[in-house]
Amino acid sequence: MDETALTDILYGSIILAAGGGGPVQSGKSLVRSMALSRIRPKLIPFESIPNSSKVAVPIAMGSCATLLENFLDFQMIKALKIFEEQVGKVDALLPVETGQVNTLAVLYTGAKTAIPIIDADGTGRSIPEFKNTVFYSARVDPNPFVMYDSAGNFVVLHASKIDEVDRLGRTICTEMGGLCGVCGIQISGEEIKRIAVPNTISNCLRLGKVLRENRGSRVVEALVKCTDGFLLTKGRIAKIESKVAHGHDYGMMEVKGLASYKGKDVSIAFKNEGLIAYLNGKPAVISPDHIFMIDLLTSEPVTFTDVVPDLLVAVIALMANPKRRTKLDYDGFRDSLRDVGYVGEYVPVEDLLNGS
Amino acid sequence: MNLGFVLTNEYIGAVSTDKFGKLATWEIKEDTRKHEDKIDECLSLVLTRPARKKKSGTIRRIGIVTDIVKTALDNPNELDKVTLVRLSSPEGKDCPPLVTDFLSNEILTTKIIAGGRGFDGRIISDVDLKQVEDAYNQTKNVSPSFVVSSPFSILFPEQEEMVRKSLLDLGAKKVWTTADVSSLPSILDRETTAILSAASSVVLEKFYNKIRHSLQQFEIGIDPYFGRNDGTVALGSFVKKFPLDTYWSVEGCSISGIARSSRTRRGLVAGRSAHKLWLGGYSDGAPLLRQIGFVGNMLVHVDNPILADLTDYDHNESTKFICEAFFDLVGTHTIVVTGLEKSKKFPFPVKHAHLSKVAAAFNVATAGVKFRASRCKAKGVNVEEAKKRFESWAKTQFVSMGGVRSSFNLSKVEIIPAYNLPEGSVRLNVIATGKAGQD
Repeated sequence: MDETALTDILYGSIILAAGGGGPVQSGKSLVRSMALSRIRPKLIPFESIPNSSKVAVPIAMGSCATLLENFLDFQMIKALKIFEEQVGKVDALLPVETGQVNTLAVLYTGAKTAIPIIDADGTGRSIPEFKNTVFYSARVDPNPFVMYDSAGNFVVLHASKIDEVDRLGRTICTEMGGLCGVCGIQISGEEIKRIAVPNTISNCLRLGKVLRENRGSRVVEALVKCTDGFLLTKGRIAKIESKVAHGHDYGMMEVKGLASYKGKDVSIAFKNEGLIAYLNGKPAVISPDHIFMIDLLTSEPVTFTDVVPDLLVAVIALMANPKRRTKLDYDGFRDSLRDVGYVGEYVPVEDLLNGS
Repeated sequence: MNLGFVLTNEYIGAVSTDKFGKLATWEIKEDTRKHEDKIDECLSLVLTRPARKKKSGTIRRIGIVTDIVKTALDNPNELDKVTLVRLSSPEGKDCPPLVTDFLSNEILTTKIIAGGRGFDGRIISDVDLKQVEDAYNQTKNVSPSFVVSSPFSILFPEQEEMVRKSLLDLGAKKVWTTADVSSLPSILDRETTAILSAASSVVLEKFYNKIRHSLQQFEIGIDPYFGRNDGTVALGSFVKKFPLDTYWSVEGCSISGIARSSRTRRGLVAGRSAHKLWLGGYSDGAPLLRQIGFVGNMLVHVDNPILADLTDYDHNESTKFICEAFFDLVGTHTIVVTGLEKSKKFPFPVKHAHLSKVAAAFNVATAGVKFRASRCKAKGVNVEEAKKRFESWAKTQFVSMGGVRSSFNLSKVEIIPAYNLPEGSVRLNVIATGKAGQD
């Protein structure tokens, strides 16, 4: 896996980050770090994980503000080492979500420790809360949950139930300076095969390659084709409102359709990640289905961190992996969706768009 | 009269204006020699003729717009070597700066030393001045320029300032801090902006010195103005500290020049730079701008015109969409073409093609000075007091850029929440405008 492949994975992971996933710069820095130190992550195909494998989930935990300003490097490796002291040697790593920070942070941690990474993840996209993961849906034991900060402080959290991990973890993370490396969720290869979303890293590689090879006027159509996605609109960002509350970025963004897309206005409600998109006021994409945006002038995928009024973007909707379209999975998204004002049921994006 | 010069990779041009600021004469010539080799010829386009010589005593102002910084960063052999002193240890030892391989290997030396702040101001590590001294001693013979970076320096700049002072005391000639070049969050992008500024400053400085020397040959002692990305001008002595301000200046000043000469408030400009065909818009005579842009594939925190690249224009739906989207952005269907007179490819009706490539030169002969800056303040700071200090500083900066003190107009001062910074942080924005002229 050379720097080009790692960069493709980075860009593919931004596409699957649902407009969130943390600062792009953090992911770029991890790619550069692996490229310059000539260390490479090793991927294990999803289907070939031995059932008896002991798998850990490293997580980069922190707010956007701290990830933009502070550095994430040794903290996850230290957390992994302490996790191994608790549970024994780990055979493989699994990203908790797909996004420019967490996908690359796990690849980096695996490359540094020579532990292979499974071509899969715990969500199939980026998510704002731990309860949006397959680990929550499947009620996996999250313990021990090791958190390590840059000053050398660490906490080995044993939560009484998985619901408590997010609440306690965020409080501890804030006290740790808003950024820490985490390693938790001891899980077997067998369980991974049952619950995880397969082939997400190879999917990122594929999407990043399509983006790289089609930069310019063809990029939107190429990405829609290769993702089986739905082009909601092309237009300018007319409005973006956001506020920080309880460690999350909440907001609403409106894209006004232009030229042949005039009359196709999209608004997206986000809590770190985009959770629901409305087309002309009607729900069009409900999590776990998701959206991504492409800057039409630079062909760069953009996140809610980057957007500014008048940016010209295409908004594309993607279907969630079928494994994530269960009632149990949607239940994990209910609270997050309620926080951004949606209390209805899940309807797949293809049904919403075909019915509109 | 005022004189304006445009000096790019492909051509040189010059204009003179009458006392009312109207275009009087212009010349343009293809010339692909190196920038410094064609300075004299560029100046002589309007200065060697007897008629002009006679009038040279009445020259009130000279402006130059050039892509020399862009050229240098595309072919970086002439850049200065730079040492990055990053105050972040124990963090960040394994996080390289986000610059290209060439810059990373040939230009940059990185020293990670103790220091840095957290989001709430907590000290990650105190600065160890002995480490600063060691870093200086190890690199002083290699790098004439230093960049100092530190997490959250846009809220807590004290550590960067302390190290800058220390480096200057030790003998460093040029030191940039990341809080100097940008007030936006993202330490890695501020570092890139500061590194590219430090590396390319020498190129602009040499060019500026050669221009001044050449002007002296014509017995002209005026300090020249340089065109900036936003279509305004500033004295060379100011822009050499912020050379990336001139990176997109040919495009920015072309857009402004067209706006000024066509006397329209809003419009679109299609132009050509090197082999790129671009489209930009203007509103109230100034280009539509973004606060960030890319130099190569490196993200930098500098105002740049919003440009659509139409080089591969093929009448397809996407390109047509971009054009129509720009119409919507600027609120008009007026397109003015510069430098594309012979092009039959452009699909929309155009006007004012006559100004051609000298639009940028015309602009720097007549444009005003604008000072725009932001400062971020952490929760708990007396914002009103900070605002007063900021306004006073804006006036000093405006004058140092070559603005006429009596024309200083504080056109915007605002306090807004600082997005992507910790809760309770605020951003102070100031924009001051006025006439160009040396008191």
